[in-house]
Amino acid sequence: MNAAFDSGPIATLAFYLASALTIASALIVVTQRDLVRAVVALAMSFVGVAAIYFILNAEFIGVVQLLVYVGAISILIAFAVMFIGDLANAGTLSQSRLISAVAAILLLATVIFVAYNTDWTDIKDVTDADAVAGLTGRYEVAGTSDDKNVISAVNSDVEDSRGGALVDGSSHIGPALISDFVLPFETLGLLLIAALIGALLVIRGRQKDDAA
Amino acid sequence: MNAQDYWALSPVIAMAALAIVLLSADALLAERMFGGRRFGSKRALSWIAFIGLLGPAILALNLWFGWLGNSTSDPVIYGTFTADRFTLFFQFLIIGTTAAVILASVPYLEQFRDSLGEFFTLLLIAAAGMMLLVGASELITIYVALETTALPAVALAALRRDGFSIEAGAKFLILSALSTALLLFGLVFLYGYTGATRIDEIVARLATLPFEAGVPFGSLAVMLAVLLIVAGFGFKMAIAPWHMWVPDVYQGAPTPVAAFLSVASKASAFAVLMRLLYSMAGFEAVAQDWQILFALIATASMTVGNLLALSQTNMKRLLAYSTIAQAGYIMVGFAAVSIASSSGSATSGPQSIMYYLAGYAFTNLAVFLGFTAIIHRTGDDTIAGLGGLVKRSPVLAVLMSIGLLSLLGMPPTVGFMAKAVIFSTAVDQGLIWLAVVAVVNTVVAAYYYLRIVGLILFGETEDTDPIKPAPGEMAAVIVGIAGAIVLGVVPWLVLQLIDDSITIV
Repeated sequence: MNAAFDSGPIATLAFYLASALTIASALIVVTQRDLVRAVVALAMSFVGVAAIYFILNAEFIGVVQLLVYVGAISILIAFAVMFIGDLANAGTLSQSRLISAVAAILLLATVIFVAYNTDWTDIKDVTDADAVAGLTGRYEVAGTSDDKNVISAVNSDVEDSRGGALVDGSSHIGPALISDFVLPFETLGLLLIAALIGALLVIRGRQKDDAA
Repeated sequence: MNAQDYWALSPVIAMAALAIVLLSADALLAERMFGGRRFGSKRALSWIAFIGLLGPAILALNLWFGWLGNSTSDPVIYGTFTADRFTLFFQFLIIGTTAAVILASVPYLEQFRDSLGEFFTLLLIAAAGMMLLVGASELITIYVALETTALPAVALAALRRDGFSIEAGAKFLILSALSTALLLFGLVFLYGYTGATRIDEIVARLATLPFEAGVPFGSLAVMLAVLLIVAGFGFKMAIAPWHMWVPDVYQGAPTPVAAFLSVASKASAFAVLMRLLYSMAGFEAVAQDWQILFALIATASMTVGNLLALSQTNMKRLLAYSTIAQAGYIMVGFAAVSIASSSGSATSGPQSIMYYLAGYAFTNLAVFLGFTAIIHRTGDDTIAGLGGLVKRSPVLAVLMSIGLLSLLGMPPTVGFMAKAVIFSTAVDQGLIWLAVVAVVNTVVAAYYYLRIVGLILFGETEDTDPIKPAPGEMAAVIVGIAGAIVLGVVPWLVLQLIDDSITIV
């Protein structure tokens, strides 16, 4: 396996601990029938994911994960659970548990099999400058030609990010959001409006039904 | 972002802007404002939405003909979006579907008087998401656009708020989240293996990576990515074995929403899968693997859809199974992918898919909206309740019969021509067994389609109150059926158009 992070024994141990925490809490989330306990386990699972981000040197994403998911989202879900009240017996969708379990285990087995049998280091051998630039997300637009292929890699950056530890990515996230990924980023605004209106629409109906 | 980027995106922006206009207009047209009557003023929303669709339509036409601004078929906006003719073809399809749904749903929507503004806003946001999806040429954009189509659709499915509708919404939400998770996993594998999120870069990267002979798609990672992506879109396209949600959602959701989902949502998922597939299937070596995968899915989808449709007693559920089978026929076109056909054309696969989708859009919309009009007035959504319809509404009965015959594939409708084109493409590619399976399936489908036609035209009914559909409903159904006949009688008109639109191969 190609480890993109500093794969010393301590980092490896930390990775396995964080993964164990994530998976164990996720299992509790799906098996626990008490919703409040499930929410707490979900928060622990988020913490585990944040730890993995830190181990992978993605400190910024790790901090965001802690602030937004562990801090805000978990609290929101906890509030929602308290408002909705008794949902302990609302499990009507799990009628075909055996089929779901078999499908899930098959998917897991396939993913593990493929992950172990794929040579992920292949992409290291790419020498084409364009390709390397794409791998690392570093471009420098050369010249004024409108040909989209005229991009050249910033070679020093490439070595930085491919050798040893990854460089800190936080300073690239902002520019990426308003350049390469501006379209999906702006579309998220539309998505959030739709989510907001949709949620209000469904909830308003419930309140009217309750009042009637 | 330069001017060209904005031009390329202009139909999508116009559609999203129209959604926001509707939201504001809803607030301004609030009850008792300007002394307006209660529903009288709100009804204007339908017209604002319908006429407002001219905006995106004209902007898309502008891109097609290149009146103003430069139209280009290269990826724009940092490679995330491509406004080529392929995109525009599907954008027209989506705008047309939205227009028909809005036009026909006016009487149906009187029961949702309080939520009219939200209904149109969500419908138009979903449409904007689909218009973005069909042109998305980058993985993250595809994912975000897909979510933008799915979330409004979930809220719309739960709009009726009775037990069925809430169940439909909940099922749709959970299965949609599950399918998106599968899709996302597939995209992550593709990104992890190639290191790129832009489709053109992924294709370039795959060419440099080692190709293992004997492994499907040349690499286990790509194989898993393809399977997961197809599974993820399989939910949206409503193909077997990812079809379980379709009957419940179509039955529980408001019928115009089901019509919208069955045409626009399905077509946009097919479009983005075509874009991914035909970009990556440029390699002769993997074409065989695509062929087997899609031939199996097509067989499963046609057979499951038709066999389950046989035993249905509810009209909405029957139409749901019918759309699953129809998606299976379209998958036959996918199976006949990139290997050059005997006629020397490499585009016969995509051409047949797009022709079938266009015909399916007209026919299925007409059938869904027509039955919406009938069921809304009779309050009876069983198949038996349609008996003797010809005595209650002769015009609708004849139109619905033509629509059902087109879904079945009887000449001279588009259903026949589309099936002929798609099956002969399969035979051209050496998939004779698949064409035979498809024909056998058509015969099975004849049983349930003809049974309904028989009931409508020759059945008995005690209730002889005439059913009088509103002008909007009639207009939408007539346009749909007229389209089904015109596309069937003079197919070369649209085939030429489609040939111009195949910019992805």
